[in-house]
Amino acid sequence: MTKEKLKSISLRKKMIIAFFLPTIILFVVNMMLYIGTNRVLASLDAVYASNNSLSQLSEGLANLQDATEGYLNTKTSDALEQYYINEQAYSDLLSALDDNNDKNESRVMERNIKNMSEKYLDLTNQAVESKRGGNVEKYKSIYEEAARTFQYIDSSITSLNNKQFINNSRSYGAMMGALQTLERLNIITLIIIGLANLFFIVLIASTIADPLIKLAATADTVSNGDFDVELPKVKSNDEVGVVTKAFNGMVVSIKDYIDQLTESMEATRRLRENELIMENHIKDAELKYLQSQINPHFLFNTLNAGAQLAMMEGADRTNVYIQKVADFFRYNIKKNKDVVSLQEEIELVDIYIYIINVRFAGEIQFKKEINEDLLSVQIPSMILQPIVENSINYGLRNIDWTKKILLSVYEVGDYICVSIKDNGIGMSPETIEQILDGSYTSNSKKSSNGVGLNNCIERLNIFYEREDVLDIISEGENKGTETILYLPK
Amino acid sequence: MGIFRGKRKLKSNSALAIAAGCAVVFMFIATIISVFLYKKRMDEAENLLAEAKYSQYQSYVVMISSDDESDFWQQVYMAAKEYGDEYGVYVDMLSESIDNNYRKNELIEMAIESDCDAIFVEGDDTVETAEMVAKANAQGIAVFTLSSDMAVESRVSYIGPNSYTVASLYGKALLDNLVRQNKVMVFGGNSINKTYADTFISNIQNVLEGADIVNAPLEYEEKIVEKEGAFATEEYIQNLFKENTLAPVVICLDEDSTDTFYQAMIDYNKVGTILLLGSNCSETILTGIKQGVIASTVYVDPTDIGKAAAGAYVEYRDSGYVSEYISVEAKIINKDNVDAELQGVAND
Repeated sequence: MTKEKLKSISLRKKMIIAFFLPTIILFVVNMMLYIGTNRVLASLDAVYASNNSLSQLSEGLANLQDATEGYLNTKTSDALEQYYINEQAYSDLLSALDDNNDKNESRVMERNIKNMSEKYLDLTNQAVESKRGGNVEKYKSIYEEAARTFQYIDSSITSLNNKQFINNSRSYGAMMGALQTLERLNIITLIIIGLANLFFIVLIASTIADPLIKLAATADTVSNGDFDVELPKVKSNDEVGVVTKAFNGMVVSIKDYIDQLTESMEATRRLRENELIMENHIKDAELKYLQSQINPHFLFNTLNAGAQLAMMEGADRTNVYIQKVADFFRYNIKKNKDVVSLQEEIELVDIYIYIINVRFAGEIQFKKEINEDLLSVQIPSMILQPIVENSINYGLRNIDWTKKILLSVYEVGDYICVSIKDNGIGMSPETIEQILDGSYTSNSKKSSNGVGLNNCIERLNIFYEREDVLDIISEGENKGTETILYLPK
Repeated sequence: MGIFRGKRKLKSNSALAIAAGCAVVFMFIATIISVFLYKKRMDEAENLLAEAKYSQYQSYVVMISSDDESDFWQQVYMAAKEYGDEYGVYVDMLSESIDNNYRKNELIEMAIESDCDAIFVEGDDTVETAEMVAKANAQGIAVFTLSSDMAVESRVSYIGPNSYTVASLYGKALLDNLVRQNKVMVFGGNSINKTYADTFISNIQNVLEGADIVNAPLEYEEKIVEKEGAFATEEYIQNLFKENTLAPVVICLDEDSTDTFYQAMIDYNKVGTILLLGSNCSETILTGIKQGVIASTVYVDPTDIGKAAAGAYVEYRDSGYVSEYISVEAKIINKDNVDAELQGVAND
């Protein structure tokens, strides 16, 4: 039987083997001992058989002698009949003795008994015949001789019987010794087999129980919520092995499911967190605008009234200007939502540049290089204007040369790039790095209209779930700054 | 599995399977060893009961003496048995195998009734023995007399020492040891018959006729124990010593009486006052000679008699004829050669 086959023995078969094998062995041993005992007992019966035969012979001889004497005394027909019966009986007994020439004392005695008995039978016959014939002298002398021969035979039989008895007793002793040996062997063998059986059953039971105990211990640990427990090894292919394998699979599946669930919950949590942050930033931006506009509706109505007045007075430029300022604030009020199109953002930048140029007497040359096909992309609101405002406030305000801003929208690979480039004082790499990682602080709030660049960058990162949506490039001092947005299509 | 917890815990199923297999194999081995041991023991016991295969004999010869239990006749028997065995003759001493004590003539009759082929018998002059020898002869059974002869024609052959030669040896011993003694007691136990003693005295007288003896002629007194029984000879000798009816020279004609006389002389402090001549050879007699209590003993080697008897029967069986008289040499043991004889006994 191969190792695999051994492992594949079912629990039921193991239990059957554990029960039947010792039972069969014990049965075989007991049968063997039973047969052995029977054999000894049968042999014991035969031990004294020779003594029995000799005793019967002696009895037959005595009967014949009595019958002979009886007939010679009485001469009755009954006595004669008795004589013939006993003579025949003794002859029959004699036939059991064989005429041998064996060189053995007992066998020689048997031979002598047989020969003497034949002579004795002859003599008794002669005595009886003589008696029947009325030959008194002859039957008396023959009877005397027969009586002597009877004595010889009788003593020979007795002597042989004694001798046989001694020999047979020796055999009997040996038989009894064998029986005692059998008894001892019986006890020793049964003890040995009993112990071996116990050992065997304990081993078989342990092959059944051990994996179950390990499985139960592991299940207990798992039920306490510890899924990192070492799983029991599957050593056999029996029912316990199948259950263990299924249990191990179940534990692994549950563990995987819990991991997936945890991951999913984590993602949801992060998403929710982003949403909250975004909302927070928007609210923050709106709050700042509202704070800066004590009453936007009042301001907006006021500006509209100013624009109508300027138109009635024929001040068209003032009218346009006030109209643009009103549009600017309207955008802030109307676009009170998270996501807008790129075009709307660019329109806001146009309004803002117009207002700023009125303020700075048209110093700022604003130029656009826009791919119109890309303007429908959705982006977070209030992104481009703060960037342009930053360029004006920090890059262009204090320069002596012509102030230029170039707004470009173009396509690079999978991204739509929105570039706001000025020819201002530029930025150092350290400042760029600080701005991008959010650690830059300045007193810019005083001069900006409220929404800082940090706010824009954070909203962009949250919206696109990337850290590299916005990049700032500056070739050095007085070489301008370019802020580029990389928006996915 | 509680009992295997700890260092000895069996960790793999294959180890458990091997251990279980070992347990099963161990059970089988224990069973097989038990069967083997039991079978061996039982075979030994049954061999005792089994009928042995004996070698066969051609002829059945019965040996009968007046004292089958004596060392002398045992040695004759053993020698005849051993020698006869080589020629297919089974020599049997009936008295050895029969528990009852039977007289010589009864044993002869028993041998005749047993339909034996021949009888070796120590001769005597009783009528009963003679009748039985005649009966045997009538039934075609050859009778050989050993050690002492019988005056019957029906015996086939006599195997033993020449009585005259034996008497000569005693005569020589007397001449060597006599000083002034005149009376000689010839003593025979119940195995010695009167004829033998008479013949002995007659022969010794012939031998010593004309010899240079101070108080010649010597006077011979014949004492034969006639009473049968186990202690008859010993009691008779004790009475002789008690009654002090002893002669200064005693010749014992058999081994038993020599042994008994030797012991009585020591017991009754008669050493040196009685000249004791013994018969046959036993360790006691040799010791007596060595001590100087017994002057000498005349001895016929029983082995020689046994061998010669068996040889005579074989010759008779094979050729139908054997010499009527087969002489076996007698020898005297005295203080000159007793050491060599003792050495021989020690070696035996």
